[in-house]
Amino acid sequence: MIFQKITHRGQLFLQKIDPKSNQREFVIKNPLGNHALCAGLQDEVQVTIKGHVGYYCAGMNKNANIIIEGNVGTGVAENMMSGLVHVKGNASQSAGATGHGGTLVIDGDASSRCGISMKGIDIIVKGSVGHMSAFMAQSGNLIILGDADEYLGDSIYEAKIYCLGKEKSLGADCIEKEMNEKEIKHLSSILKAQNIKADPKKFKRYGSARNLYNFKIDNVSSY
Amino acid sequence: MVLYLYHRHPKGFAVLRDEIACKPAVIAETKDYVAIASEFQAMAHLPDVNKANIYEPKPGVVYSWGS
Repeated sequence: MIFQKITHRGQLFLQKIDPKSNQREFVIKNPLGNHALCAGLQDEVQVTIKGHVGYYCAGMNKNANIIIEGNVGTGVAENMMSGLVHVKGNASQSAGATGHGGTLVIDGDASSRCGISMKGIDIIVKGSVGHMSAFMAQSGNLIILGDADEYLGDSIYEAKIYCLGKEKSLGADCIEKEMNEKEIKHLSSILKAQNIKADPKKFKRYGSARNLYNFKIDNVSSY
Repeated sequence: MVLYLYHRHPKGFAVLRDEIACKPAVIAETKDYVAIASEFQAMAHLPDVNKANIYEPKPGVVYSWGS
């Protein structure tokens, strides 16, 4: 039974929690890879999904704390505004895409285009990420404890990428930047908030060289 | 939504995904079978699939089983 399809007076249940209700913890069993589970939650609730889910799980999340005890499909926590999404398995493509805020933690690997066009979200991947991660990322932090595939941070704006492992190649206009005291402190606070034991001093930081901000005819091959 | 199922057999089975990972793909591997589908939902009812090793194949990399 899909929890989300249980309607309450014609409206989706988890998306429309009764403000007078004290029940704030929910468990979804046997999700069977269904799509858009827990999409558009707006209240401070704790939801645990026991199993593997399909596309766009926890999309547009606001305030809710969602734990997925399994793998997730394409676009987990897409356009998240706030709250926490914790994936205990692997994530498919475009994890945390266009996220404005909140935190996405992936215990396993994330596939290609992780954090594409991110706008303020913090994404922590304990495994590795696929190609073109943080593509056109505008702000926020992508923290990778494993390795990164080709074209990391392609056409990046002001988001910050921290990588503990090796990157296969950097994308257009993405360069390695200095990991100074301020950055170590910043990274340390994000890791500490999620109880992740990793030495912030060992990370490498990547960001924008800011050469593609304005159109220059010399850069035409990079666009 | 497509599902291909391969029961371990000497003839073998291989998966190759497109170079830019445009097409969705997921692999579930157990000691009895290997399943490939465009999404997990297609393989959600396979036996012991929740204990399987489930991962997304990397683009342009050949994954093969059998001989």
